[in-house]
Amino acid sequence: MAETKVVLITGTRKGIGRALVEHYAGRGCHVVGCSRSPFEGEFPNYRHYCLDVGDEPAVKRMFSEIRKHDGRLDVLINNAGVASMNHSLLTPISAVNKIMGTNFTGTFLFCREAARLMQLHRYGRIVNFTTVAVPLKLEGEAVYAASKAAVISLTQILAREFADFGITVNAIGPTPIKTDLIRGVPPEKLDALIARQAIKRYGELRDVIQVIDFFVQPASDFVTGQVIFLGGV
Amino acid sequence: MNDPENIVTAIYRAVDWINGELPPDRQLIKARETRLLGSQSVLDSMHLVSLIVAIEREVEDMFGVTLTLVDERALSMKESPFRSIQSLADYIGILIK
Repeated sequence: MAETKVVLITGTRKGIGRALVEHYAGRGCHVVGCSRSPFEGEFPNYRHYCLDVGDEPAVKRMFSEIRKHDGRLDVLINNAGVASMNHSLLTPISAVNKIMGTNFTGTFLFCREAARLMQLHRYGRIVNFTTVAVPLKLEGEAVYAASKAAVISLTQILAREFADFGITVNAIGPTPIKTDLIRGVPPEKLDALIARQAIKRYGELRDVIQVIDFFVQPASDFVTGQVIFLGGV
Repeated sequence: MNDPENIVTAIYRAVDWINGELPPDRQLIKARETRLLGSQSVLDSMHLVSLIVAIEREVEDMFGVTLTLVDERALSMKESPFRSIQSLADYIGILIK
């Protein structure tokens, strides 16, 4: 992105989110991020909010501040997410609500508020996060995969609803990447999953950044409602 | 501050914004009786959505109140508060009272 953009990234405290902060702040973008905990360290052009992505009043306050402080929003990357691996028969409703609250409700809330801001300038790029667990139909990830399948439907329909505002909405579905998100998943499960990919290796942060860079380019204005799964899934 | 005149002013600011998006022959008139819904309105559904978002923004800026204009309460009212600028101003007045 040649000109200075305002980029909002959720779930920035660690993992993919933090890498995205480094990437876009390093390119001179004004980056706004959020997570439930404070951000450790500092990046030039980075501002952090502590909030739960499913907390509507807190999210609305943050967007109000972005509008008053930055005056615009060009890119939203809905990275925040929680995973849970458990047999459905052993999954409590509290876990279901937590996963849906972060992965689906949070994504919806940020898409809605971002689009309200983006439509002021008739320009915006939204990238949501789904997972290869959806097409691979992974046992033990019913709720997680269902929450991310909902993100795909959301992405495809918002792409149509937001198209007239100059806003594109796309999604990326990463393969397992060595971050905290998969810390609790047994290695043999991960090996079995990777064996089902066309390219049999763990994903890397650069793989995710590559796809997001493509989606958020101004020149990608004819690309919307698309889902790109990594690794040939 | 939140007297009816100020609410109408906030709505008119939003109308100014939406008129920048509308063609010259479909401008929304800044008058209390201007229809926002139905066959007499110049707004299509997308511009009505944009207008409501703009009104929420102007109300927040003017009164420091975050409103959600389209909710179950609004949708369940016998007569839609989105009929006209006046009816919408009245409804906003109730919400921020």
